[in-house]
Amino acid sequence: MDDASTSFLGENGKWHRLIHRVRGMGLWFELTRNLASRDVETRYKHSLLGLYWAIINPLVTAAIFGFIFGVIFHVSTKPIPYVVFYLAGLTFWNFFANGIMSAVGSVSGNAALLAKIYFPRVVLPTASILARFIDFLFSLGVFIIFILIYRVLVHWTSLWLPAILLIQIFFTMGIGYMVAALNVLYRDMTQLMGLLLMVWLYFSPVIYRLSAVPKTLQTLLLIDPMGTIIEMERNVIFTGRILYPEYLWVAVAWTGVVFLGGLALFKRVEPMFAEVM
Amino acid sequence: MAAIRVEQVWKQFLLKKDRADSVGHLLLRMIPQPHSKRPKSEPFWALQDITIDMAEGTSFGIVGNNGSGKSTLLKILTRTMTPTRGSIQVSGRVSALIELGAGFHPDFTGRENVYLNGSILGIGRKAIDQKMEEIIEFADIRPFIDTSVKYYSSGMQARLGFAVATSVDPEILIVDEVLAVGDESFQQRCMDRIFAMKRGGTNILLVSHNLGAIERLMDQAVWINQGIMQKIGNPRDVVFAYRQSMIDQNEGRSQTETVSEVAETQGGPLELRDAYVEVDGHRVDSMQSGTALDLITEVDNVTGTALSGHFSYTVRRPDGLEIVSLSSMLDGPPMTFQRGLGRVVVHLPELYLTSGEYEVDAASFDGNGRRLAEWRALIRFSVQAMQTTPGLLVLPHQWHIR
Repeated sequence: MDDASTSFLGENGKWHRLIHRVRGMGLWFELTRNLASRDVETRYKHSLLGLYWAIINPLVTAAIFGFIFGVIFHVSTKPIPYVVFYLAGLTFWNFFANGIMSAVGSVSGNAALLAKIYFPRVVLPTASILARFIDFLFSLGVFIIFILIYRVLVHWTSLWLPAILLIQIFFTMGIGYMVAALNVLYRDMTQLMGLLLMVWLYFSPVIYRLSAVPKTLQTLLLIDPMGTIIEMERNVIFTGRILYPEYLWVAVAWTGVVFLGGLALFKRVEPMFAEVM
Repeated sequence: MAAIRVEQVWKQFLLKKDRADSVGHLLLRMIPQPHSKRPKSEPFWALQDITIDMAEGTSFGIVGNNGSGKSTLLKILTRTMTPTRGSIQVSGRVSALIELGAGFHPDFTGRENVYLNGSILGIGRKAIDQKMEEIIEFADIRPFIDTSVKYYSSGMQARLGFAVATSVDPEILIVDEVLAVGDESFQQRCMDRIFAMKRGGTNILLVSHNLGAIERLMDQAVWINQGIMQKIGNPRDVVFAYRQSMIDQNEGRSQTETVSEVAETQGGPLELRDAYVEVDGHRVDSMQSGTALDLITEVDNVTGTALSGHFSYTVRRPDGLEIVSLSSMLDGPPMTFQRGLGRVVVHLPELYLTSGEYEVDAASFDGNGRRLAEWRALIRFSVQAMQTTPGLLVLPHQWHIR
């Protein structure tokens, strides 16, 4: 509606339009933020342990993996303690997986909102991923506490973490837009993604180290951007150097393609939302 | 500059019978099947060539039967749907009273929902803060504003939804028959508020079955039937044409019903030829409340001799409520029906009915009061009153304070 309201001509009109755009963007950003905080709050408002679920989940999973691989199969994670190692991988992976899983139903679960009035629908999956980012921050806090408890050496390169996370967020959003749009058309997208993410988890170096894998398989695993991202996130924290820097660009390229592709797909399916639901 | 411009908008829905709605279904469909077995998609035009120009600062009414495409048009205007062909231009911020309370989150308090709803309608937190008092005041839920919306009654939710949607200072307000919710005093306040906004320069687009409101309060109107524009222009003309079509429809429907009843009474001494209403000597179907009118029945006395007897009319609503009964039996001695064609006329100098449809039953009696024939819904007419009020009559009146 912003475009249509400015039928003034000339330079003045252009500026007007730009100001309108920027103001409009600000409002949509606020809507995204409001929806995200709605999401976070509802998730924890009426559950017994509240926000602790965001913390308990990765802890229990880390403990299970620690028991199975560390105690039963004697897989070494040295010099990092089992719990810290598994927690590292799972904290970052869970942000990705949970982000996808809540994006998938973000459009189809808000039919009432869609019927009401126009707003850029992309706001919905974006907000749900943003909400999972808040969860992620809490589990990151737990991860840090465990690092302190076990006195694990952390490198200065950890400061690169936000940049790598940014790549991860854009990648998550790209996939999130795709599956959110497709889920409107095909409702079992949720189940499919649940299955797919489980397979994806085991084929990414989340609960094992890349260096523990045969060389030929390593390349294959690094082509998967999530594999590269998780491996890098662990690298900058624990070893202080990125083991496979050349794959960083592969991951960045993937992220660009997936994000733009996801957005394009979403925009393409968007006009059908009102009719299908 | 037009506030809303709809140019040759067509909207097609594909009633796809074989649309895969799950990935599983999609995979299943990849198994080849004989072509003839597949159900075909049926195109359905919900809107056909709709063109509306709504000037800045004006109000517009849309009337039409259920399923005529009104809501589809509104969805296109609120941009929740895109037209198949044609284009729309909406200049200004839109607020829509379409699904009041849609988007309210049950677990959040009224106040939190106001912020959320505001941001959906494109209004920032600060602007909402300034309006908060006004919203609470209008919705009349001050004691409950910090309670979860799930504990609200449906009326409270609707009130809050209305208050938010109208408090965001929209430039265009789209109203879809939402005023059916809430009690009467709230409905009145809603109408007052909408028209205060109209006076303040807000463009109003109203879809309503309350034809009186459209007639009185809109600057322009359009009547849509089965997706096609029937008439556009002055609301009085549009509503009149729409009403007329409804009467015609009803007649078409009831003719078959009444055939048997009429058949029963045929062979009586007075055969029915025609029946209608006249105002000022002209045959009409519709009239203003309070005008003088004649109810006229043309009967043919087939007995060959003059016949003395009585006649009666009952004016009633289509739902059966009888409003007035006129019978010559109560008024005096029998009338004489001459041989051949004659007209039975009753003159009513004033009939102050409220707006609506009315039906007239008639009956004939012999000189002793024995019923000869009876005709149900013999005449149909509609009345338009200046004011739409509850009750049966709109009586002339004056107020004084003494």
